[in-house]
Amino acid sequence: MSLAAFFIALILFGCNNALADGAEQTLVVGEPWKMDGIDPALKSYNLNNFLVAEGLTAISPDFKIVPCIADSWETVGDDTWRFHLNNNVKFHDGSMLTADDVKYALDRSMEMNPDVVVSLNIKEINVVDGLTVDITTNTPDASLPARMAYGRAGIYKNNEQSDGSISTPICTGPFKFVSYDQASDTLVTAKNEDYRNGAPLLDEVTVKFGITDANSREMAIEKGELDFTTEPPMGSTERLQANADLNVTIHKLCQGYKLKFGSVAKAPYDDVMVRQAIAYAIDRKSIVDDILLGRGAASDGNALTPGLEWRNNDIKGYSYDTEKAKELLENAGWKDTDGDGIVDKDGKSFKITLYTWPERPALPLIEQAVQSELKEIGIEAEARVIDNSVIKEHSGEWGMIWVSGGDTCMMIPDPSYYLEKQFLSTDSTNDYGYKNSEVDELLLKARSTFDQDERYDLYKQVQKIVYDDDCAQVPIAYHYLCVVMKKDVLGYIPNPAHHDYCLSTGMYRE
Amino acid sequence: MLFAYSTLLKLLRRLCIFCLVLVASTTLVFIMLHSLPGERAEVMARYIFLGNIEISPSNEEIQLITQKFDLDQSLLSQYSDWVTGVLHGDLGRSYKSNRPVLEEITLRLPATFTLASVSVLISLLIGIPLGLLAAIRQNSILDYICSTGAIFGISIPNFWLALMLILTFSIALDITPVIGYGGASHLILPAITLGTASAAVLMRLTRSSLLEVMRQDYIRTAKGKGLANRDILITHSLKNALIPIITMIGLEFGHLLGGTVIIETIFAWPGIGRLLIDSISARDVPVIQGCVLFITLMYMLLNFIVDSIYPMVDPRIGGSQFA
Amino acid sequence: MPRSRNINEFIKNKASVVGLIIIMILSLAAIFADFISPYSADTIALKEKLMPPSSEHLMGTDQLGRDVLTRVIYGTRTTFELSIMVVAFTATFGVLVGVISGFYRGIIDEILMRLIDVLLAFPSIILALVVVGALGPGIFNTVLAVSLVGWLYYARVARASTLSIREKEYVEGARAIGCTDSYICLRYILPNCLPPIIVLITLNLGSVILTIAALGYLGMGAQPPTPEWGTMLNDGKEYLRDCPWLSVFPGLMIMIAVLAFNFIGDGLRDAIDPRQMVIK
Repeated sequence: MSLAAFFIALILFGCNNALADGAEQTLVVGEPWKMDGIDPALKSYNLNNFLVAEGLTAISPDFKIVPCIADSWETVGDDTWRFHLNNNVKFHDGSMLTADDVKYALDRSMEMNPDVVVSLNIKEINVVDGLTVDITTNTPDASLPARMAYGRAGIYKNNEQSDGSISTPICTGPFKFVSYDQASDTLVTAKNEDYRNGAPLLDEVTVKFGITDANSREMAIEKGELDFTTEPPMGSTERLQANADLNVTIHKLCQGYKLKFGSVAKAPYDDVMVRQAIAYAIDRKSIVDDILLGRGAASDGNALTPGLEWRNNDIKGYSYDTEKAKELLENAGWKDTDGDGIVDKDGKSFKITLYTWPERPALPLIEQAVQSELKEIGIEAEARVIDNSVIKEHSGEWGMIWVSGGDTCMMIPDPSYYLEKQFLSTDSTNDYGYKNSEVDELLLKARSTFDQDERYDLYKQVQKIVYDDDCAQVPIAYHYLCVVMKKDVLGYIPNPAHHDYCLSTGMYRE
Repeated sequence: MLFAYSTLLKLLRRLCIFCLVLVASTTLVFIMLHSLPGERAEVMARYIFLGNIEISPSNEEIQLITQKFDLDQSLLSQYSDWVTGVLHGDLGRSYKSNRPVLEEITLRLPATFTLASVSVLISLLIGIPLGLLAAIRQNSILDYICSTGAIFGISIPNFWLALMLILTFSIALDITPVIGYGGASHLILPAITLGTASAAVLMRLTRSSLLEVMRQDYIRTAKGKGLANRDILITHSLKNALIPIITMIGLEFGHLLGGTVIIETIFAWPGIGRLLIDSISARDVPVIQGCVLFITLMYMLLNFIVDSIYPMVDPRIGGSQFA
Repeated sequence: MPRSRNINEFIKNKASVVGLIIIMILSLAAIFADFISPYSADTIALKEKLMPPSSEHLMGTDQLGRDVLTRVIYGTRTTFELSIMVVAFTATFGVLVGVISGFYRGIIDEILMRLIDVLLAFPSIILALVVVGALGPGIFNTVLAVSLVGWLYYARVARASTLSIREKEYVEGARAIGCTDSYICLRYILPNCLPPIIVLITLNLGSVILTIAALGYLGMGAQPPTPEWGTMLNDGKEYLRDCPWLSVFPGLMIMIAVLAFNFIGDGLRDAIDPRQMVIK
């Protein structure tokens, strides 16, 4: 008997030790962008990416809006959505989430953050009962449930300090907030044991924000100072893949590169043939292979990411055809009459300026490639790399073109987000003069069409017009994210529906 | 007593002119950065509210921000607000983070101060002894090596040196960590990078200054009197050679502050230099002004310290013994 | 001042001669860049990107397939053009101000002295950054930014020389016989300023090249595709470990050019008058 007990004890002891010998379930993430603050009204987007904050709905890796804090939702009348909250959502401090908390968080976020006001289009929020909340929109809005999956619509508890700010967010996600250091912009989170869908496997996640230099991120992960990071330097993919200690994943994101005309309401881009000529002049494949070095895919002519249900996959797009481009320019009246290699019309030479910004390493290179490709068809372009917020000031220049990157179609996971911002003539972001009344009609109708299929069909029609018929903008390529992890970090499931990456609850260390 | 009075007067006059320059330069910077309400709202949108610098905020959002923060003021009223604020110790709020500029700066002062001090220390520890040796053994191989090395030191671009050092020590040899702000191991590479150019300058200066002093008559007289070489060197030459060296250290500290701008960015060192670069690219006007103000003030402090050391070193000014 | 003695002393200094030869080679490269470059500086050849140094591309190719050697050669032209512009402007303006200030003295001189003391100590790169940050990157803004503080060095040296000459008997004599101020300045003062100014120019060129490269490295200098060493270093950063040649060669060129100017400057200073303590 005692011998058996002894062996049992030994086995149990051995098991315990084996568990203790297992890998430490911690993760150190190196994040390129800064967060620089922690108040959830401003930063719940980042908190959402790192699984601390959640919204009423969420977006799944296959681009569907799925329940999160809310179990279900339906329309009540024309302009109100009723959300039925899950009855088992606990805040990180143990208290149960109620409709009042939802109203509190959203009202406060809208009060403190103008972006949330503009993005959610909410008129008012009413608490119906403990687990039901009514959200009334300014106009009948079929996109509201999708808008609640926007990172900045995260729900948090009221634990304001005396000055109204929140420095220790209490949210509902799989990881709970532990600490945030302002000076080094570092966030520490810990496992939420009571998470309603099961606790995550990692015990602790540390996120170091603001490691803006790609070389620093790469060297840090090679030396073991980081366990997970993204966007290593462009030329390093092969070398990192050959590194036995690291795992490299390259996956799709809802972002891309495109050319945007400074103005399509005046010369020279008011002529669709000129726009199409430029679209034909771009060698997309070469840009993906030689500049993005495989971290991307050539666009088929539609800037929306392949896989989205509302995407029109039958866009013809524009192939790389220099001759066709030259022909179109000629038909538009641009010919090289003085033999200087630059086309001209009515005495004006086609000399323009391309603008882009330096923070994304591929952009200045794409800009130079485009510069050279335009030269082939007789357009002389100067290339400038300046701060993004300043480029707007140059948008009135004759023939100005933005070489744009980080062009996100899913910041808010609804087709209205991208298509309205870019192509609705009354949208205040549309600053390049694109106006097509048919498109306007379709977009406004789609926003208030509650039948999903009908709605998506309307959006597909819009895409056909803006890309094939009007060539309003020139998509170049989709941007793929390069993720580098230590070999023993497993369980990462890419969620391309996010603008950036987000962690997965199933991640663990081997 | 009279001496103290005249120094005080001199100091006061310097102070007045200095303030004039300060006002002129900050005004110039202010005008140059032509703060328009739209621009400030734009910065706030991208960094605080939208949180993404690649996405253009909508006009609607810009309007909301402008109203919320009352940004529709004329340039003149903004400037007078800022000046009043400064006189009360309030440098305004950062556009990018909406935190007080003073807070942003003081948060990062220790990092820059540490880096600059250690770099100066390194340059002193390397530059002065080598300069001394080179001067004593003038025209020897050692002198030749030191002098040539020094010229290389002042010719090498510090950002390139930083990259090469990182490649060698952080990657290839795996001795030092790459990112972050921490203890000595994080400090050593940036400090060496910054210290190199200063060490080179100090070495050359020490050498030439010492050589010059050693040629002086009174040294020859002392030699004639029969004092040992070492005594001559330490008690007489060095003390007199120190004056230009001290001035140079003061100046070098200044160049160092300029150098930290690039070095801090490369090594992700959270100091003022990096704050300045980040705020310039974000067009975070109050922070830029605050940094310029602070750096200029640090200058003044430095010059003041250097000026007060003179009397202790120069026997002709102070009352120290000239044996 | 006996010229031949100085020239002899200069030649005896081997380093200075080496420096001079280097600068002459670089200048020739800059002038004849079109003839000696194996390829074109801005023609993109994406299929030949990021190739290591080989017999066809002695310094390899960059991320857009351009030959690095060619861009380095054209970069010499850009760098020299920019630095000469800066120095020409600052030297002329600075000497003018310094001579006037030293000659007439009085309140203008006082203010200038204080301005010089204060501003000279202020890190010029920071001022340059703020100017470029406000006005935007580009060649003209870079030149403007770097020139803003540079002229002070010349003013100070010119003033010192002016002060030492204005008391001399022959100047007083000239004044006595009725020569105008401008005549005196041109005939007596200016020539006396020249030796230390020349030394300063050579040393200053080195420091200007470094500042311009630094601005280029921070992305605030010449715009693409203009080849400039600092900008090339910035572009090469992204490929630092996999394609180090993109960073090694431009950086080396910066160092060589600055080194050469420093050698020359040192030699000149030793030959002319070691007592003229010209700072950096």
